[in-house]
Amino acid sequence: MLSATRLPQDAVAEPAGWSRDAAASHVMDSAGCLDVGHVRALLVRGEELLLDSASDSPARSGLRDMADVSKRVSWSVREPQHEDGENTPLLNGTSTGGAQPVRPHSNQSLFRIGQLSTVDLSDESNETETEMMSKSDEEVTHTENLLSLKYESLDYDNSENLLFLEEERRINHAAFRTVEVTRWVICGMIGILTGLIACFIDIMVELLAGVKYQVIKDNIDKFTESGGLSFSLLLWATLNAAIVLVGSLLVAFIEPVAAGSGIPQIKCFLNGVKIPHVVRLKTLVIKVCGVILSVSGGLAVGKEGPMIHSGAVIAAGISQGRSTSLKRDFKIFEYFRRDTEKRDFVSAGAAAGVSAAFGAPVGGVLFSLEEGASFWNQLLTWRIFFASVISTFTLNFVLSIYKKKPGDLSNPGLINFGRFDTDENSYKYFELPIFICMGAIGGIVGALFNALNNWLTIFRIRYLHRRYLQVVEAVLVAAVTGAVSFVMIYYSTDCQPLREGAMEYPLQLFCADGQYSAMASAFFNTPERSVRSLFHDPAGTFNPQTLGSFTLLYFILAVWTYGLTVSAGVFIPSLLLGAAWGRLFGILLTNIPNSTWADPGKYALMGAAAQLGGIVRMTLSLTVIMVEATGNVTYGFPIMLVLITAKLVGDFFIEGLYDLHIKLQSVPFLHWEAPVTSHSLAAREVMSMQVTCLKRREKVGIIVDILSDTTTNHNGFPVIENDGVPGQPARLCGLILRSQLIVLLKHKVFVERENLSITQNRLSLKDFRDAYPRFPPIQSIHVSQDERECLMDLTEFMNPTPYTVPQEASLPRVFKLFRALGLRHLVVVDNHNKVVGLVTRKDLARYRIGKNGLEEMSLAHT
Amino acid sequence: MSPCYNYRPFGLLYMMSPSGLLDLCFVLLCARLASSWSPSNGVAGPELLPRSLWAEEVSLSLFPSYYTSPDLTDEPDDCKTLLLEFANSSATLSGCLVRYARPVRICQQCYKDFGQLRAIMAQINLKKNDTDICAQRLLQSDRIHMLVVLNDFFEGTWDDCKCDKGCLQKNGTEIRNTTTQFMALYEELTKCFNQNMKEPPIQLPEGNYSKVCYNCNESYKSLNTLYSSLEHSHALCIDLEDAMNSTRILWSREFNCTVPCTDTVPVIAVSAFIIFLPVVFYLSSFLHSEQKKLKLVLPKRFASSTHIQDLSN
Repeated sequence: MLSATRLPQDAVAEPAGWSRDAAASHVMDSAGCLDVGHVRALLVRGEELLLDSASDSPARSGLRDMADVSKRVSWSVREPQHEDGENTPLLNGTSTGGAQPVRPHSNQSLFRIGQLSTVDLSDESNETETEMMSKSDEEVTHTENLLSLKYESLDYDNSENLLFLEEERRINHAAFRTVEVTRWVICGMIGILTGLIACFIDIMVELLAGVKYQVIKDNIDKFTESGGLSFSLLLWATLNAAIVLVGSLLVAFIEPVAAGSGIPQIKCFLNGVKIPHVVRLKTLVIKVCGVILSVSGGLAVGKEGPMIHSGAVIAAGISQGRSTSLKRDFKIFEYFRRDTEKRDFVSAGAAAGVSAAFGAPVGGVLFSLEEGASFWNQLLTWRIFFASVISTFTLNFVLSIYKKKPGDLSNPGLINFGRFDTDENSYKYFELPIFICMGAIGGIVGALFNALNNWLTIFRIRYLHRRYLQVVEAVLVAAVTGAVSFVMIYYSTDCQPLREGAMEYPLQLFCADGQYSAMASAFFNTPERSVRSLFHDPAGTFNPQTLGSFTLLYFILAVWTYGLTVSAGVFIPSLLLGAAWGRLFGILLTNIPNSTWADPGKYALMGAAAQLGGIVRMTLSLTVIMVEATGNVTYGFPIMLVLITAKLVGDFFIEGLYDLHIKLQSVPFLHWEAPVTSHSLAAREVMSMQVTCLKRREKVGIIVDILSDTTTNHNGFPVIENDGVPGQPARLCGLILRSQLIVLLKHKVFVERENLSITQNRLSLKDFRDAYPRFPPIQSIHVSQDERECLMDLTEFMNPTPYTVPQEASLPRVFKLFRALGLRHLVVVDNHNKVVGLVTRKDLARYRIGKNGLEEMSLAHT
Repeated sequence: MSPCYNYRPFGLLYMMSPSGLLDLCFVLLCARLASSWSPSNGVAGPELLPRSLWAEEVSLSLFPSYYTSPDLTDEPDDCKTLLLEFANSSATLSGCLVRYARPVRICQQCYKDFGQLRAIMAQINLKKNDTDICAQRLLQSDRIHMLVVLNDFFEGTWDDCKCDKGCLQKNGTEIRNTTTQFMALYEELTKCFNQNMKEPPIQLPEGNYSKVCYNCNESYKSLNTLYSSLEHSHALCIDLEDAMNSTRILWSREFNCTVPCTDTVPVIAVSAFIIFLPVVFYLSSFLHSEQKKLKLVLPKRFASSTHIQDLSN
């Protein structure tokens, strides 16, 4: 085995690959203008190459001869498909001796490392047999074990180049204090605007749903007497479908990233993944309209999850002081135009969103802490709390004015759990085990929910990828939701006497005069109201049969609805589902003799907590959110027990819903820690090779060619230096980003020009910030033929001290450095400070603990 | 005039809170005492009081001088009159409330009494000049606040009945036309019920239908319609709600007159059709839509030994 695997190692263990590739591509790209330095490096590498018999291929001979063939050998990650035909036989020859053109485990597209990790451990890491891998032209169907190439990292690491130091020197101490004050001002504005958006959503949903329910109720009342209720059914289904059609069209055709709750996306953003379009103004507008339409369209959805996304967009927008969508620049807050600052504000915005959604400011802060906690400090926490409190207060205040009771601050959040402070609501010590049982049920039901939804989402990704199909699906779900609700109400015989303020739209249907259908109070209502009536309606309001059938049907509807192309959250459906079976549980408990303590409302609350915990698997923040929403601190302990149990039981079966969706979107998400059994992996196995490097003084033509090469979309380029000694290997001396290079090219910062016009304004950090975050594409920058021959000096602009690791560093070590510092590129160097490889997010995120130990995911175009 | 007017005056007061009454006496005593110490206003001398009270007065006279400051001594008789009026009026009102509790006719029958009580309360609270302290003396002198408690109770009950908003107009001094209209219809229906209750059921094509349902259907419908319209314009109070409620219970439960049309077959057909649509949709997209294929990209890096092992096998 070892001898079989040793062969290829020799070919690749050499740190030669990168420069060979760089040289090759430069040779190709510079079109006849050979880069002497690289050719030399190439020769050196070539001599050092240990040839193995298997790889005696055109690739290397081409390399040696610097013949054109070598240029065609693309080692790049992002090679387009059409070139594959040319490469594949050759590369397969290199790697497999030309025997096997297809990778052996295509069905799962996984490398199983785990089984062999023991072998690796026993050997020296140098003996770990490796080979140069190549790309394949394989096509697979979408699975959860893929990483998409469309996601990039955010630049959380500050580039401490000379410009930065200069600016820091220029800005005095007082100015930094102003910056700090500005941060507070922005957080206040985030809170206010998030609160206002929440108000807008709340009021619009109330109005739209009010009109809809009134129309249907009048219709049903009319037809109950004269017959023809099937028309009411049709009317209900059609109204639902029509409203959802608009919402779904908006989302599917204008901004697909606004679909769903947005929490997975914000989680990814705070994790450091740049999800395209996620914090744009357009997304916010579509999200808000979409939520209003899908909630009033009667889908089994809530408006709470999207608030978190909305808050995040508001934060990202305000903190930049301009809108690129509207092309307005207010010339304020320019200092905050970079990823690090934006991320801090986005976490404040997410917190403000949670706070407005649930009236839970502390819960909001803890939500941000739970989701984006790798970057945290006390002062930031305090600012985020400030934004949270402002947000809930704004919502409360504006809603009190809207409800014509100004100053009556009783609506802290979009969902109002009502007060839980009566005597029946208090719990006894012997109820705690019952609560734990409910937590377990919540975990199991939640796991079932997640598994079904996961399966459904895979089906959707594979088969329903056309936009019009997605819209049709959403419309059908809306119609079916209406129809099912109607049939349930139609067949329910559970009639309850009308009470003062019990229901807004009581449906009598076949009940006696003066009574209403109890099933209607669960189905013929916005989900928020249904939750509240399950929590607070006095015992005996619902029959067990009503609750049982409601739970079953609503479960199916909720599973089916989440993941549609509409903007909607999963919080409220989960709460409603849990409240229904929790109340059922409470009613069944009352059959025990002497069970005066069994208040159904209390059990509905615990069921809601258990169900929500079982689905989303949030812990600390969810506990606090629930406690704050109920306004009863003594519930802290039972809710915590319930959530712990739900998470434990649920995690035994399947992950949380948000994590599943992040996986299915193939996002390179970095968890808290590297997989536990990954210590045997060293950086040299993790990293990507054939790094495209730039020299400290590089020809413009080469830079332009590298940047405009559509097959490689590299974003960070190590800058190397030769020390002026020919033949000496080039050392790493800095790192420069694509965005910086583009700004430099745009301003034509060339050595020759500098010499020509000394009067020209020097570039400052402001020029880089102005271009942020949508740097122009390289195609929009015109470089003349003369300019191509110019030189560019990167010394001033590159980050002179990029983080590096040695090749032998273990994966967990690399991971920790990367995750904790929020890096985008981590350069792997050898003993002589030569660039060997580059670790990016995708290199780290692909390792995962699976059923068979450590697994590796494949990269794919999505 | 309602039959319960002047019905057991003071009765409620005595019954409800004897301790409160004692406090009240104490208040009055203090007032008297204070006035006797005022040189300008010596209406009641100690010789008019019983001996025990006189003793108490002497002991009270040992209080510090602020207790007998001039502003506490003004017009005790005015306040006393008001107190007595309040007592009478509240007794009348409470009598009325109880008398018309079943069937509920509170708003229609007791609004005058309530208006009277309200007027007296307003007078107590009226601030004629700076030295007028009836409000302070009657309402705030002790820890029980008897008058306030009673007044709050009446006001609360009145609000709960929604009398002022629903059934009365002109600030609660007149019964609304809608209310009278509704009650007239209600009386009519009740008469109809009474007449037809004993009649045997009649046979109709729709099924067994008692005589009462058949004969009173018209007026029941009109009452129901009027009720709905009143509900819409928030012109309901407890009287109307209760009348309607009992009528509905009679109609639906006692007489079994609510026989709604059921059209189960069309409902099932339509809902089955709607539920069938997604099945068609998913099947067709599963069969006809081509599966989305992704292009795999193999990274350029050292593969781990496993892969090679797989290959070499």
